[in-house]
Amino acid sequence: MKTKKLIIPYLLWMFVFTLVPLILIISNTCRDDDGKFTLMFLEKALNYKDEFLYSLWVAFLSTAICLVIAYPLSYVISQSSERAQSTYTMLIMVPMWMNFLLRIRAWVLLLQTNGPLDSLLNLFGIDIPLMYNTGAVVLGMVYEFLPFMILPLCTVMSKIDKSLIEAAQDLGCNKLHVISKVVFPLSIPGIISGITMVFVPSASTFLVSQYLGGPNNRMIGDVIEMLYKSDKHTASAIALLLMIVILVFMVIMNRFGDEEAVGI
Amino acid sequence: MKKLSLGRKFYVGLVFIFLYAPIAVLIAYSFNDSKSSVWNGFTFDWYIKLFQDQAIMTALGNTLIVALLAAVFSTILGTVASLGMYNLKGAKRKIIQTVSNIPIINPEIVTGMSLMLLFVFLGQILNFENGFVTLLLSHIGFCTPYVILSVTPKLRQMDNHLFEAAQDLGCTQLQAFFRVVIHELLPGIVSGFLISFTYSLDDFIISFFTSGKMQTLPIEIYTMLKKRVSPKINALSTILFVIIFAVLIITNISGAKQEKNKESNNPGKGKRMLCFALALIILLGGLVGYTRCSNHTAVINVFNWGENIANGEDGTLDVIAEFEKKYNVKVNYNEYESNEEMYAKLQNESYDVIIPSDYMIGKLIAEDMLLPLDFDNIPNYKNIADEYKNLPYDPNNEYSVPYTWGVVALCYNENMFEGEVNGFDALWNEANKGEILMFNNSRDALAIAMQKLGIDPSNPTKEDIDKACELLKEQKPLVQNYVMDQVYDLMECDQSAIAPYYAGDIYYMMENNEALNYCLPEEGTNFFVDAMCIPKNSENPELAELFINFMLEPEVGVSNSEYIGYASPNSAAVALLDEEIRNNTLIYPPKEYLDKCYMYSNTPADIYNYMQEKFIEASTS
Repeated sequence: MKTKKLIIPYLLWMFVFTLVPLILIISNTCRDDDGKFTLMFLEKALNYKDEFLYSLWVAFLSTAICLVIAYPLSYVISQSSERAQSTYTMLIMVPMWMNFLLRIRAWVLLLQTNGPLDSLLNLFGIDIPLMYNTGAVVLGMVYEFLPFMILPLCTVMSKIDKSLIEAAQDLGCNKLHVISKVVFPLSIPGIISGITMVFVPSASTFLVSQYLGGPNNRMIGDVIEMLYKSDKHTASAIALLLMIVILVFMVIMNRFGDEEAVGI
Repeated sequence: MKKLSLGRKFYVGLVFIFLYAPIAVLIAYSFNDSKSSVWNGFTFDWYIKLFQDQAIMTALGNTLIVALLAAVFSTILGTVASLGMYNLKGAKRKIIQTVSNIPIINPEIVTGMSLMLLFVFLGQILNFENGFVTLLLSHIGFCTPYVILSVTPKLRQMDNHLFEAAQDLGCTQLQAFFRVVIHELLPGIVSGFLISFTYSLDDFIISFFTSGKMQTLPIEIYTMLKKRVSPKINALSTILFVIIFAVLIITNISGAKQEKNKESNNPGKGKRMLCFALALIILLGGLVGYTRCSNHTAVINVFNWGENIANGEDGTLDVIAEFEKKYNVKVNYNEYESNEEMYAKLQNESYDVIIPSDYMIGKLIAEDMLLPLDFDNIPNYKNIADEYKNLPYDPNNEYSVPYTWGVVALCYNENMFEGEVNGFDALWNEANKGEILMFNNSRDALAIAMQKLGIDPSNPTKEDIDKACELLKEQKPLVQNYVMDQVYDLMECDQSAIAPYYAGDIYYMMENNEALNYCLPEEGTNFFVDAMCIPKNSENPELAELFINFMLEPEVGVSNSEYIGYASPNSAAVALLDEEIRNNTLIYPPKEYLDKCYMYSNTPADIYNYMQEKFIEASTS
């Protein structure tokens, strides 16, 4: 199948709408208002390294939890009939059509002191703070981005040839072996898509930690949001650093993915 | 279909409870007979009010159109690109993939900012203003990578020989492509479409930068943040939710019938989802059609704070509609959430009337961005009380007409706060550790600290800021959170003991929780004014003056004041106000108290940047 030429329109598109704006960010980072070259803004951006690391930590936790929740769920879904699969997929998408801010605010109402969850836990004699900590922020992220882990996993797993699984069973694999030797390797492209789609936005999003986190849970997205109105340069510099970190992460992921794909 | 085992059912059920619990809360509050989060009885009012709200309905129409078009275009572009990428090998593909993922990686703020720069740059060359097209382009931009991410795995799984086999069996290349390749990819393509639609529907930040004067629903909601998100939005979400669910059930039933008729057990998941998507497009399209209608000749662009004008609710006037009717002028009404955002937009868009706060007006005057007003065209200016004329930000009153005013006060919970509340000292009360709220806004938070230190906050130096930040760092262990609009829920639901906020808003909080009380800090406080101005780039200053004059009509003024909750500088309007409000010392503090208060003045950019940086530092580490 000769399809190489089909990439051309997208190349043009990426040039205008991705690369040119990227150059504009770099130019914003490295030049002050008078257009003079400076590294001052990058230096300023490094002042926020704690928020940086914290954001990556939260993103890591959120991604890991999403994967743990989504993987079995996707497997169960992919094992069901075609009809059930499309229904499940839609049911997973629907909550995301409600406004993001409203959903996060709804969590605040659910988690607050003497709110429904807190009261429920108190009944069992458990009294732990549900809000204003990393746990709550991670919960918000997992809630927000879980569908982006489930969907690619489902897509990939539903494509796995059922006869492969049967063959493995015939050859004496038990349930666990089927999953580890057949399903898992074949689902790696989905895992990679999912990790990318969860990790990246949870590292850079804002407002979630403002609502669910406390004063110690400020994330880098919130810092950018506070700064960009007054100081575009530092905001751009932080964004650039964040981008580089995530790019490195992505390149590693891609490489990992490719090697595995070759292995199949 | 294999029946799910009990354990599996339980697990799937748990995940769905997790996904739907907040939706249930959201829907429940669309029936709450109060704007607050305190349950106040059942009502359908918000649904009726929703359909009367032009701004929300227009925003809804815009949002749906953009989301549909963006999803369609990005699905096509993304699928074509995935096919193109499929045969590329090694480094080339890696590079393209990486660049393609940049819009996903980039924090949305940056994508938005950089796209705005790009469009402004292109706009100057090609002579266009940001609006529908730029909004659509930017949405296609951030949706396409998601389509690629969901199509590519399908492509990799596809058996290469299928395409050749189809040709061997007599298909032309094109036939083989559509019958085999597209068929194989369909689930990926459709889920890419749905993801795009979803993202576009809910995008706020990028839209804010690239939408020009197009208001979308998320923008509308975000601008409500300073006040309170109206339950009308919950009502709207509920309606959308019901529509989506109805479509889901219908497509499922018809799908089930088909299955029985054809007796084939593999009609394709992609196709069913495609049916779903199409049915949804048709239904939502109808909704869009409903929101489109207007045939006025002249247009005026008004740019105001979110939730900052009476809209016909609770017996107030629908100010915009009245103005449109009276003068046969179409008002293009846009909203913002902070002065700084308004300022950023004003650089590239032209507006006819804006309503910034005091210090921002000072800044705009200093930068020569405002038109002097012709007060002959604003005869109602006589209604403004003398105290609110010639204020420091506009000493000769050439550029602005005051709209609302107020003070920063303390709101505290009588059952929770330990001790007496007299002044801002109360925010450093050790006994209420973990129950104290503070502004998440450098200017207001630092001003409070400076007052405690005896520094005049109206025009601080860098040293003043340093000292104030030290004090904020001392306060930090006591602070529950730095908040803006979250303050409503926290105070009304007994989550926090004390918070500083704006007087008119505290009044509303007190109405929703009897335990709340207020305190005007004894040392004085910030006195702020929002005033109407006409920017230099206005295309229609006469109409703008007509609008300002209309806003000063006593009936209009009283409606606005009642709706917004802030004090009115319009003495003719105040005379018509409820006596209880007029004599309320929180909203209308006595003259002697106001003499102790200060106003912000125009802070130089470098000082403001310093303030922001230091505040972030003090409130984080």
